[in-house]
Amino acid sequence: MNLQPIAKTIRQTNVGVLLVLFLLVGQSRLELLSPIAMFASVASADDLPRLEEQAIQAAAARVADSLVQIQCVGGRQRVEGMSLGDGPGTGLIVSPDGLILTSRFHFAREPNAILVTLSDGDRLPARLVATDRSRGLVLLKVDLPAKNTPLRVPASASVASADPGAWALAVGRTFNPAEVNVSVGVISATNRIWGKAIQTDAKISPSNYGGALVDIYGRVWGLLVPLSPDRDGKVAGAAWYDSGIGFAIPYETIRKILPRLARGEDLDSGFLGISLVNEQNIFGMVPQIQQVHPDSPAAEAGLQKGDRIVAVDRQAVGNIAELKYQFKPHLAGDTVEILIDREGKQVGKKCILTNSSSIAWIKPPARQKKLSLPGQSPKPSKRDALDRL
Amino acid sequence: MNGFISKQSKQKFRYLWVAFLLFMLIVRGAAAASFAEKVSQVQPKIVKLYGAGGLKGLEAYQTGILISASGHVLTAWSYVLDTEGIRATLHDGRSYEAEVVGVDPWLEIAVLKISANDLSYFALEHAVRGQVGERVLAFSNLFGVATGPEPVSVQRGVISAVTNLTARRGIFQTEYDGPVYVLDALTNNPGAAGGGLTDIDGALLGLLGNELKNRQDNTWLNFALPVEAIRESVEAIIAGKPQLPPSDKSLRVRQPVNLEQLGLSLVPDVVDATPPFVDAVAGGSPAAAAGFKPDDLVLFVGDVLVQSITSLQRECGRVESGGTLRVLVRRGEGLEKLELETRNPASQIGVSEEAAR
Repeated sequence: MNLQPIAKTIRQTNVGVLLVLFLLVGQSRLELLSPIAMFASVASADDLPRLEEQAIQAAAARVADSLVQIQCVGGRQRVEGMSLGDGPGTGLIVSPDGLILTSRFHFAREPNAILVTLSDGDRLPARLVATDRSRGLVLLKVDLPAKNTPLRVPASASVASADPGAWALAVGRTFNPAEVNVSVGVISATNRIWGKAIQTDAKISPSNYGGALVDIYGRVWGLLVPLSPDRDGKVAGAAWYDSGIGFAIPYETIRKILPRLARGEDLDSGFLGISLVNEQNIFGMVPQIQQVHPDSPAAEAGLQKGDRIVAVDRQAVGNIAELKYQFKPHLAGDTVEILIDREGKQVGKKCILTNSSSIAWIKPPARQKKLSLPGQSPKPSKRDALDRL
Repeated sequence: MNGFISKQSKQKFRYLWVAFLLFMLIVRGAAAASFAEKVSQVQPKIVKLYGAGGLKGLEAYQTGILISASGHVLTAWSYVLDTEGIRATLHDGRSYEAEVVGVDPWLEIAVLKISANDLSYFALEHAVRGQVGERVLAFSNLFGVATGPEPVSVQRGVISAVTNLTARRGIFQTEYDGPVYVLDALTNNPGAAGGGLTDIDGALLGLLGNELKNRQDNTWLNFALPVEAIRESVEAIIAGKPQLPPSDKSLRVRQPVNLEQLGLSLVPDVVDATPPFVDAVAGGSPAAAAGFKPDDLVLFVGDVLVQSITSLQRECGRVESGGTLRVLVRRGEGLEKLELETRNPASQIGVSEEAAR
C-alpha cells in the first residue's frame, strides 16, 4: 500500500492550509489544485488523527530495515560522572556492504565486543572503524556472510526540507530487536550546536541515540546523537534526554564525512589555537585575539595578539557567536580562510586546523575577583576551558 | 465573449468552492469536538486516590480507574495504599472511602472497592490492544494538580514500543518482566501511577505503572501495563483468589548448569563487569566436546545476552542441567554457535556414591 498520499493529505489538512486554499480560490488559481485531492483531504478531516497515526507507522516502517540493534559486552560502568546502563543501542545502515553509523554514546564504556542485530534477526560481530569526536558519531563495520543480500541504505531528505514545525519522527531499534521504537515530534530548528545539528522536540534518549530522525515519508534527515552547545565529551548532552531538546546530525554532513571515516580516519573538531578578549561575552564586539598559543595553526599562519577577526571563509563575523557559527562545524585538517583587521589594515590568512590535543594550551591568567550583579555578562565557569577555538 | 462567459462560470465555480470549503470547515470543527467528547467520556472512569505518604519525596496520592459499575478501582500497588482510610475522589468531586480488595505484588497492581453504584467504568473484557506508533491518551492526576472537584489531567502521545519490562526501583530489579507499552509521552510522574491509557477513541489499553528506571540505559521509563497482561490477575483478586506470581515457579531450578563442572574455566572476575572470556577448557570435558577454545568471549546463552561473568553465571543459574545449551561466542573477528551438553551432575554423583558402596 502506498501511503505517501495519506501523508500528503495530512500535511494538507494541517493548520492554515484551508486559509491557503481560500487565498488560492480568491486569486482564481484553482487550476493549481487538484480538486479531487482537495476533496479527499478535506473530506477525511474527520479521520485525521487516525490518518496521522497511519502515516507515522508507515514512515517508521519505511526506515525500519535500515536500523540495526547494537549490543556491547564489557567495559566501564561510569563515564564522565554518568552511570551508564549496558542496554542496547541503535545504528543506521549507511552502505550496502555493512557500514553502520551510530552514536558515540554507546561506546563511551569502551566495550570488549560489539554485536549487531539486523532487522531480520541476523546477528553479526562488528568492529569500530572510526570515531567523529566533533559530532559524536561512530562508524562500525560488519562483514556480511556471502549469502547475505546487501543491506538497505535508507532514503534521505535534505536539511532544506526540515522546516521548523514539520513532523519529525525519532526511530530506534532498542527495546525490541524485532521492532522499531518511535517517538513523534516536530522539527524545532536547524543549524543548532553552532551549525552542526537539526533540533527536534521528539524524545531523544539512549533509546534512540544512533537511530534516525525521519520526515513523515520515512526519509532520513539525520542521525540522533546527544550534543551539548558548550561541552565536548563522550556523553555530553545526554543529561538532556527526553527533555524536548534533541539533536540529529544531518544526513548531508554524514555523506560528506563518510569516506574519511570509512578509511579509518578519526575526526576531531578543528582548532585554531587562539583565545579571545572578553570570551564570555559572545554577543559583544568583533572578536579580538587575546592570545595565540605556540605551535598552533594560528601561530603558524602569523596571527597575533590584538588582531580582530572580521570574516571567516568570506562570511563577515561581528561577534564571538558569529565566529563560532562559522568555525565550529570545521574539522581538524580543514583549511579556513580568516580575514583579520590589524591596526586598520585587513589581512587574509589561511590556517590549516588541528585537533585540540596538539595545541599547547596556555592557562588563562587568573581573573580578578569582582562583585557580580544579576544581569551582568555570564560568569566564567569551568566549561570555558572546554569551549576553545 | 467567450472569455467573458468562462470568467463568469469561473466566478460561480469559485463561490461553490467557498461554500464547499466552509461546509468542510464545519465538519472539521465537528471532528475536533468529537475528540474532546472522547476525553469527557473517559474522565468519569478515572478516580483520584489519596492515602499514605506526605513525607519528603513520597507523594500521598495516585490515580485509579473504575472497572465496575459498583465501584471496583484498579490501581498501581504502592505505599500510598499502605493505610486505613484511602479516599477515592471522582471526577465530579464525590468522595468515598476505599478498601483494598487485594493486590498482586508481582504485577504491582491493586484492586480497591468504593461503595457506590451506577458508575461509569472500563469493562476490562472490552479493552483493546495497542501497537507501535499508535496515538494514545493518558489520564492521571500527575503531580496531584487536580486538587478540587475536577477531572484528572489528560496527556497525548504515541506508543513508542511494545516490549518486556527491564526496570529497577533504586538498586532493586523489579519483579515483573512481562510486556509493557513504552510511551512517547512524559506520563509516569508522581501521582500518575494507576492512571488509564486509552486509544484515541477512549478504549482502554492499559494501566500507567509506578515510577521506574529502565535498567538497560538508566533513564526514567514512561510505561503502562497492557490490560491483557493484568486482566486475569484482576479478575482473580475480585473473585478472592489471588494468584501466586509465576516467577516463583520458574526461579526454582534444582540442578543449575555449572560451567566449571562442564570443563569451562573463565578468566578471573576481578573488575566490575568482567567480560566472560574463556580461560581454559578441560580436555575430554563437555566444554571441549562442544568446541570451546581459550580466549572465546561468551556473548549469548540461549537467547540472552551476557555482558559480564556475573550475568553469565546468573543466566546459567536459571537453566536446569541435562539438556543442550546453545551458546554464541566471539572467536577472533567471527561468531561461533556452540552446543554444550549439560549432563546432570547429580546423576554422576549418584553413580559414584553407588560405586563407593
